[in-house]
Amino acid sequence: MFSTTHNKSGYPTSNVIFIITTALFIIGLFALFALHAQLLIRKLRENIEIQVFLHKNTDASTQRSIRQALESYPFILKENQIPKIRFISKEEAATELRHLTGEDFMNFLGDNPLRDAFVINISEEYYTKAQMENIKKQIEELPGVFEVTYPENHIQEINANVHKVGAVLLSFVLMLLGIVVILINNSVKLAMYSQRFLIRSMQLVGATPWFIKKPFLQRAIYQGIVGACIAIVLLSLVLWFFYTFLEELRVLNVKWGIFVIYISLLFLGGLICGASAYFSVSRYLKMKLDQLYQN
Amino acid sequence: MSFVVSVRNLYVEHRQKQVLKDVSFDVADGEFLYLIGKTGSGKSSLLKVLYADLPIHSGWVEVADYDLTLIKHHQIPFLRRKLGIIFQDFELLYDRNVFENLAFVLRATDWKDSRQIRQRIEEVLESVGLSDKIKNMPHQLSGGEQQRVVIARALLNRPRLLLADEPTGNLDPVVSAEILELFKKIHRQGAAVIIATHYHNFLKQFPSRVLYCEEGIVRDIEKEFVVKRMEESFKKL
Repeated sequence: MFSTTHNKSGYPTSNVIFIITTALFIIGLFALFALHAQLLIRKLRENIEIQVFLHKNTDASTQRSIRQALESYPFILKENQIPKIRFISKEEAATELRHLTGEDFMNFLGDNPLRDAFVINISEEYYTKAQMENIKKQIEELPGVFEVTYPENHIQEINANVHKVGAVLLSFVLMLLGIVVILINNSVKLAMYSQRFLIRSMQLVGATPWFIKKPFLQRAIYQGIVGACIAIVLLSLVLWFFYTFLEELRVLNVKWGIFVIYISLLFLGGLICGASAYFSVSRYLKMKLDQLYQN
Repeated sequence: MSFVVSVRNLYVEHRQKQVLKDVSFDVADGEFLYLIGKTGSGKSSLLKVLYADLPIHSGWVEVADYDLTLIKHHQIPFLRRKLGIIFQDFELLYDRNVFENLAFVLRATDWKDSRQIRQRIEEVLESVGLSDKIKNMPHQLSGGEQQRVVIARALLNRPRLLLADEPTGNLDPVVSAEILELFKKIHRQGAAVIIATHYHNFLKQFPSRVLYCEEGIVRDIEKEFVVKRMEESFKKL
């Protein structure tokens, strides 16, 4: 059906679908990029560990109550409903340090200077400077907690970049959306131009405006959705390509996001094409015969 | 006597130019008349006014009981269903066959029942003598046959008034005569017919009332006068 540029009625079907596919493909590519960027940032944030050092010689029951307190906080990252809290005893910490430095510091210190600690991860949405400070203060108030540390500079750096990237992405998406609307609108309008005398004929036999609009609208929405489907197939190919060569991407949980993007593309294609067809047919419906010839 | 068209003191402007000045006339139901005049005489504008495609500047026009000075946009399709319009730039749809061309018009005008649609199409094609071409594509028909299909299309909704603009524009005299016969037949069946033409042979073949357009002014020439003039011109020959 799409092999000929012009079918018998002169409606440039394949041109319209080509433009729609291209436009939606570009916007879809961008959306997928933004999705992956966002998920990568989240992963990055959630991997940041916060260390909660305890006072020396805290007994087991204090430790248990600290753990319970930590588990009840809403900001603790949960994986499969289980809060991500790890306990590192000072002995474990010492062994780890010995491995890292290759020196047996306990020999010349005569004592283990390290403290027992909980290591926790925080949900992504709490990564603002103010909230982090708040969390730090909140935990430090718990009895038995000596100090809370987190890589403050690291977090600030990520946050600053996220804001920049976010602003750039958003302006790009808006710009692209504008371009896509104009592109699709123009090609549908052009296609409608080829149908202006048919529209005129329909008017002369006494067809009501809605009867005239309906088939054009149906065709445009159908074409928008076909264009979106082709774009989705192409995008899936691109994704497959990247996932084959960049296996690291598989840690991201993108399935739901991709589904939303694909559905939005179908919706966007149908909506923009339908609206363009509606408005351009309405325009021809209002035209007089000589205006049709002038165009 | 009831009138299908009544025009009183009609003034029409088109692109800041006066195209019709103080036009008044009536057309009775079932009347047959010619609209004669050169290009730019206001002939086409007058037809456009009658099917509500050109706004009225001042005056009063009534067509098929619709007051065109008061008509609402959404009523125009229903006015046009009472008219049969045969125009040069109003062609057949070349991507579908004769039956589909006609069925399209019926569906556009709220015909739903497929059996009734087929029956009506067979009736009008028979009346224009094209029953055997129902499955043909437009390009398989001669110019005269195509024009008959156009006329059949105009007849589908049993119009009170048939408007034809140069219906034989590209046809040879023999075929033109056949087309005129068809219009006469439609006229005998009770519809009013207005034919805009510069083809004076029609007047000889079938003298009738004439509206003569010249520089926006329309003169009404009675049938008797036309008949007399035509007889005189025959005598001269």
